[in-house]
Amino acid sequence: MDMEGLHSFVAVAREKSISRAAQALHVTQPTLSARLKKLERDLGVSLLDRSWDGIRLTKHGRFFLTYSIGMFEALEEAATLLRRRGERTAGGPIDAITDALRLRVGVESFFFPAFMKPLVRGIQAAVPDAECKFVTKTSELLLSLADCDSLDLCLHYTTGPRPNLVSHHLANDRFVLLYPKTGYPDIRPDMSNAHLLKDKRFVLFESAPLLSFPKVTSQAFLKLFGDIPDRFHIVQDIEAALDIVAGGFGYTFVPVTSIYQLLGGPLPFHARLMPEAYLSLPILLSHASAPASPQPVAELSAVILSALQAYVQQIDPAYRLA
Amino acid sequence: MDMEGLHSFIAVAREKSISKAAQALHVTQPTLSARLRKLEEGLGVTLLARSWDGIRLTKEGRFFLSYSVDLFQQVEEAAAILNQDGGGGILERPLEAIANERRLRIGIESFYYPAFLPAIIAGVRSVVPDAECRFVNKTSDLLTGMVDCDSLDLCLNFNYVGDLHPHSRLVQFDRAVLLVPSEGYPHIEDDLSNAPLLADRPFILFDNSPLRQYSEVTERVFHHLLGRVPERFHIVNDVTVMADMLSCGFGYTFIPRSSLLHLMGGPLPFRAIELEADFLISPVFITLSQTAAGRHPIEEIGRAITDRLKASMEEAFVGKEAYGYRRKGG
Repeated sequence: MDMEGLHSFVAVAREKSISRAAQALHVTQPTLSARLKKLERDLGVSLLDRSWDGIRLTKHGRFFLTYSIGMFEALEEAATLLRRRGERTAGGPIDAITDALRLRVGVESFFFPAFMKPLVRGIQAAVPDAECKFVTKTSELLLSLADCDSLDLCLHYTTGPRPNLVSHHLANDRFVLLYPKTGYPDIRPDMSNAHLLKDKRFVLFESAPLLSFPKVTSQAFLKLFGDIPDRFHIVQDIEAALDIVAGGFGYTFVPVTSIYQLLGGPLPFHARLMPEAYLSLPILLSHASAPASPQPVAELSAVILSALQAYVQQIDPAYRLA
Repeated sequence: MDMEGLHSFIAVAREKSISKAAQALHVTQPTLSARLRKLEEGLGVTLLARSWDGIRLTKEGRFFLSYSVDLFQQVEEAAAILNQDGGGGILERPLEAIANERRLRIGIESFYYPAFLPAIIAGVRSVVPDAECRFVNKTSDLLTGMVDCDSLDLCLNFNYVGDLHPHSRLVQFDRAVLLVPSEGYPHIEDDLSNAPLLADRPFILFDNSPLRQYSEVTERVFHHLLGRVPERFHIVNDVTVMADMLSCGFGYTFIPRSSLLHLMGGPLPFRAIELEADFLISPVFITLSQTAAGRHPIEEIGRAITDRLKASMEEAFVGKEAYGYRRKGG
């Protein structure tokens, strides 16, 4: 796959016509068609429906369009910032971003709102003068970054062996069922009447979490309803999911660490901790086995781990949600 | 540029050696070197420093590495999801839901995202209570691009550089606010006269997209406020992370005040002081798709969201001194 293919696909989606897209990109129609065919071949699905009255995106095409626009934009952005860097001699913000002396910490996007403060306090205690970079992304991406030395520390879900990293177990995550306070039936702690939710709108995460849909989410649906529901709100991240449930607009189940930061006060929705049979997912703190950073990463990792352990023990969701 | 180039670059960064990377990718060294050169030529920068004792990433290389990993991962992810759907159909319902054009698809600029969501959800519910929605959290440029490709029905965006999107409408003007921890930091006067005291503390900087969109604005504010560009930075990619760092007393920053909307219901966990209004700060815009009208009462939804946001933005910042919010002029 190459960027020309992505660019061509985005142009066709915008112009809704092969000939106009070819004009906009200053290429011939056969060139454009060849690029699109190559993209479809690389992905193994057809993205476009070619019919006598024009061109339309297939279901897969509409799904892939968000990715294409995002990737194309990211690449433009990288190129622009690199060019600006080249034009400047002095330091400043753009240099700061590339500075490897910074302590670089990644946190899984499902639970960063819960762990950010204890994490920052741990870092402050150990290296008060450190300058930091915090990255909130999926565990898979964080581990890939750590693997090529682009992160010093990361807090993540387990996703297969990583020989370059040293990992410490922090806690096991499990699902919590969240539903609005009004207009919804009360769900028993053993989930025995959860099927009452089936015709409500479920808040579904797109992109990376979909990869675990067949193994995790769909299994949970089958246990709860005997079927997979078909009414959904789609979100990219946990903050939107929580706002939707709090706004009375839908229900969902998410890892319980996603609401740790809210457990100190009254919750804006009902929350039922689901049995571990639905999900039991280890959370790990990892750092490079041979860190290249000038920071004392291994020592720092030990300090942060104990700060996080203290925080996790104090939360005790089973007790607070009982 | 192609994925082979990105993949090769990531492998070299991971293995710290051309020969080991070539082995890992099952290609010859000359092939790998050619791919890397092509990538560097495409970008117009040197990513790798080759010396007698091995290979190292340049500063540009380190910067580009996180993009490469991200891009590569996205391609892999999209391909994996599409292929899973091809075999067995277990992803049929979620994919159908995501790709469904009848869904109401709403984009929100990342800076506004946590702040605006409750008002947007309430606005949507008031007009189309039964709608199924998709909420997308991205940068403004990307969102207006998605509206153009018919992949969003409306978005809330700002506009710092370039022309305003022809279908963007004003929601509300905005202000910049300086955010300073309440403890462990010098007390900054309401007139900001002693703001240069902050200059040796770490400034919380948003990486990448915001930096591209308004690095010049940021530098102007730096000079106005501190008399120079600071040298110490924390880097973040999320407004919530920024707020947590401020409340821990780990750094200071300035942002559009509308990003604080969701926090104005009680005392702020930090101090907020408005800056002069004549700085270039983008108003908040709403952009409606011109083709959405056949699917949704888009004008009505747009109006409901605009009215709610406008009303809450007008009152949220008035008389909140007790919450730690200082308006310009007292």
